[in-house]
Amino acid sequence: MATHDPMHQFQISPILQWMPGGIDLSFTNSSLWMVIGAICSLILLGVASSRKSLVPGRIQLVGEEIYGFVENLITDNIGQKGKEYFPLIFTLFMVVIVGNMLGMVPYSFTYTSHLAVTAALALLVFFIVLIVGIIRHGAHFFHLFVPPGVPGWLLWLVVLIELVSFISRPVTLSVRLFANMVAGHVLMKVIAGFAIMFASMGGLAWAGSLLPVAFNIVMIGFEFFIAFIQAYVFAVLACIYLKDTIEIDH
Amino acid sequence: MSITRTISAFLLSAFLPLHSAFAEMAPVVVDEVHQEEEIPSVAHNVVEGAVEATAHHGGGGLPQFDPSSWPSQIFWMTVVFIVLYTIFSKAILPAIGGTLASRQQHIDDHIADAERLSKEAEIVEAELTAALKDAGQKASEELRSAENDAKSKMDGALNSYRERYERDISSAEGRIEDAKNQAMQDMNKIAAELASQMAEKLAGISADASQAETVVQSLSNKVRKAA
Repeated sequence: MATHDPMHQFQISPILQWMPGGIDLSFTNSSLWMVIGAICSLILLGVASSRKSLVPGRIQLVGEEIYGFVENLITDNIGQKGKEYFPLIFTLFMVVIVGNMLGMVPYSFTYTSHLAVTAALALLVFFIVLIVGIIRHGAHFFHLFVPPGVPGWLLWLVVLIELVSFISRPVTLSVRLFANMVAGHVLMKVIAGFAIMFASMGGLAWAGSLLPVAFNIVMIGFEFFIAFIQAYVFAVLACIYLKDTIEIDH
Repeated sequence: MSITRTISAFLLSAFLPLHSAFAEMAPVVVDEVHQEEEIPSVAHNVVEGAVEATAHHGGGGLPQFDPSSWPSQIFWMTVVFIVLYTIFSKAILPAIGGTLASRQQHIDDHIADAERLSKEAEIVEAELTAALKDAGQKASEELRSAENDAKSKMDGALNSYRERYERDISSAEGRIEDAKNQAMQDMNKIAAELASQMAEKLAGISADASQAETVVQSLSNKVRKAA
């Protein structure tokens, strides 16, 4: 009865074994859902972008709304100069939101519930900020860690704090997303488990399953909200971090 | 492996409030189930699985912290990301952006057209108002001049008529005066003749006509002086 283990939904199982050079790069259920997500988003946006009508239809409007949403995100958080990061933020947002949303499909696999994936995305942002920042601003980039107007005797502590907060960015960015996905999915699975438990007791005990079912209905709605909010938060934070490559506040 | 377990335990305790809330919840459920005496295997597994996952990370802990799957996940995420990034940045985003830009262009063009047309309409309206005003002014001027003409013509006619009738009146008065004078003179002559004839007939005195005339003349002058 391993399927009722709430952690089982996060189990990665290979579909096609592939170990080039001894490294396990197997095509797994996680990879499958990444590909499904990519295909879904490509079909949706491909169809949406192929419609070029002056008055948009439904699918075209969906594509244009996502485009406008991410565009506003960038202009609000980075500014007009942030346009160069538009494809990056757009891809990040799409990858995360599609992963989160596909995770709500029963029997699917939530690839954004794995730290390796979220950390890869977070580190991508982190290293882009670091490398582009240093290339653009040179040594001035490290002024990021030295806020102005701090008395000399306190400077070492402030620099230390700034440094730690800078380095912890990818950690918080990746853990926030993965932890939210894990927590939500585990909770839904556990509540569903309660319903099954009551239902399989026999007799009048089945009535006891109504409460967890009702709760889970609310939870599912809430999880869709979380799926969107976390993708939004991921994209917003990526924007805020990438802003350091455009201009350094101090 | 012990390092990953430590990390996972730390991360779970730090970042999974819901998860730990569940850990507190699980034992309560275990108690309930025990009271029922009959433990269905499904329920048992749910609870046990949850407890294991939260408390012991049984069977190798969370799959998330099993590093053996990391290379595969990161590799496939990278592949998918690069494919999506390429297609988004090369095809889809320019297409949507182009559609949005052309729509904006279309709207802007129409607004510009509308503004141009309304400006033209304003100019035409101004021209019309000016023409109307002009025409009104011209009309009132013409009206006034016609009025003045008519008035002056009427005045001229009136004046000439007045002159003429004044002249007529004065000439008529002159003629009346002349006639009156003539009549007076004739009356004096008639009176002198009458007097001389009366004197001749009554007294047999033949009086000179001219002498009688002077007498009448002096008498009438006396009367005129008394009047």
